[in-house]
Amino acid sequence: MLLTAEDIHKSFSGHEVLKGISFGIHQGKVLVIIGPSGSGKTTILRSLNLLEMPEKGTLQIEEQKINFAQQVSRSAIQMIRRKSAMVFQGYNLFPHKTVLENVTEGLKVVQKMPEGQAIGLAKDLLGKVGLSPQLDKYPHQLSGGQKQRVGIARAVALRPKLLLFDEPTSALDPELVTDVLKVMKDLAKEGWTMIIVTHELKFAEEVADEVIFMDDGVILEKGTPETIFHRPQHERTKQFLSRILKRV
Amino acid sequence: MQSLILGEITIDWPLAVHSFWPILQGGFVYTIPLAIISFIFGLLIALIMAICRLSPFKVLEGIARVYISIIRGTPLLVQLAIIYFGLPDLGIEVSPFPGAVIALSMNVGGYAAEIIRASILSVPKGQWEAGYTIGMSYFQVLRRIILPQAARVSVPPLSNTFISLVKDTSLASTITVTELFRKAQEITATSYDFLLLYSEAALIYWIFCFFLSVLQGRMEVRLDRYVASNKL
Repeated sequence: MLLTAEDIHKSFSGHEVLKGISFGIHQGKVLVIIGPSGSGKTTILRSLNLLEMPEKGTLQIEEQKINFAQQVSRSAIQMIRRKSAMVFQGYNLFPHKTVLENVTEGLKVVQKMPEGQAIGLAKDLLGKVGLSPQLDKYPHQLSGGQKQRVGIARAVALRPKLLLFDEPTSALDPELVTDVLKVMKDLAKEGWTMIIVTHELKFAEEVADEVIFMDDGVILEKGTPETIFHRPQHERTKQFLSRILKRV
Repeated sequence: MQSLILGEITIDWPLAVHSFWPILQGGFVYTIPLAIISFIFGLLIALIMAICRLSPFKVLEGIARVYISIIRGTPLLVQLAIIYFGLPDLGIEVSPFPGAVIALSMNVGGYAAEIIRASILSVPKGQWEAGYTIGMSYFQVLRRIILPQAARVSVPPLSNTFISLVKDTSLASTITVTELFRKAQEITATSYDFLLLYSEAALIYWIFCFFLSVLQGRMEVRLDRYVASNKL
């Protein structure tokens, strides 16, 4: 297992949003988390990058292990955090930096890569996501789809063990969604390990090795895309899927 | 004819011309350096206090709160008096200029701390998260991601602080710093031409502040090259 999460609990002001979540993912696999809003799927994803601090449970990525029930040191947080990189629903690009600088920032500052090498790597990646003409633009000059592709390049540039996607296409106009999904499919083909929270079921079915359905802070069922989407076991899963499919 | 009669008021033009240079000199030699040095130290204090105010450590937050409250709750004139006339009672002698720098810096520190705190808070939370997710530490995110964006927001209020500071340096005259206003005062001691000399002093302060507001405008344009919007 590349990542193992066990019995993760998290509450916000007394309300428990994660009620003991356990799962794992192997190197090179794609895991998609689906579920109604408020089910805790974004919270579990954010917990893997320690943007949320669970109160209980353990998280292990490669050899790094954290037990949330104990005091977690700052260096342990850094070590775990650097194993993964997050792509946000709202992009969260750095508005005062150009497209190129958004991607080189982590390389230069965190990974201490020499400037020239960082720029070379960033240009390569931005070229791959079709943004070569936009290198010197500022984020506010880009479309949503372009912003999200910068967000993906920024995460990939760090060469993390694990890419986390938090509803990466939810804020996009429908016609811009395909570009972003294509980039993500390419990453999956290249063998990146990815955990994706999304409502794009068709995409999920294509790209996922495993699908988790979450509801009300627990994992209700998990399995191959084939089982979850075509032979779901739980009534709640069936309801959820039919509601989403009707919407499309 | 050496005097022009304006109703009851006569303007002594030779005095006006002769006094202008020494007053202006007081401005260049003391007022401006005093304002600039105090502003730099003041911003440093303010930044530290703002970070303390935002700190999860209650003790640091408390220290910053008390500091800001004392500075904002006491007159600058009294603060100057304590440092220059009061500290010698504890065996701490401070020369006029450094004394003025200390008092003015501490004062700016108290006022600007709240401005900096508010501008840090105005940067969307997602910017912190984006910094953390690429592996940055708290201070790396603060320095490279948050403060540059906060700076843009804080230029107008901090410019006001600086312009106030330039005028507040006149209070240093009370602790014998021969800055712009004190120079004017010294000349009135022999010429008794209060209206003329103090008007000259006022004019020079106004010119200084006018230049500063032009500078502020330019800085805002420069910092506007990106739009600090994080809206979806």
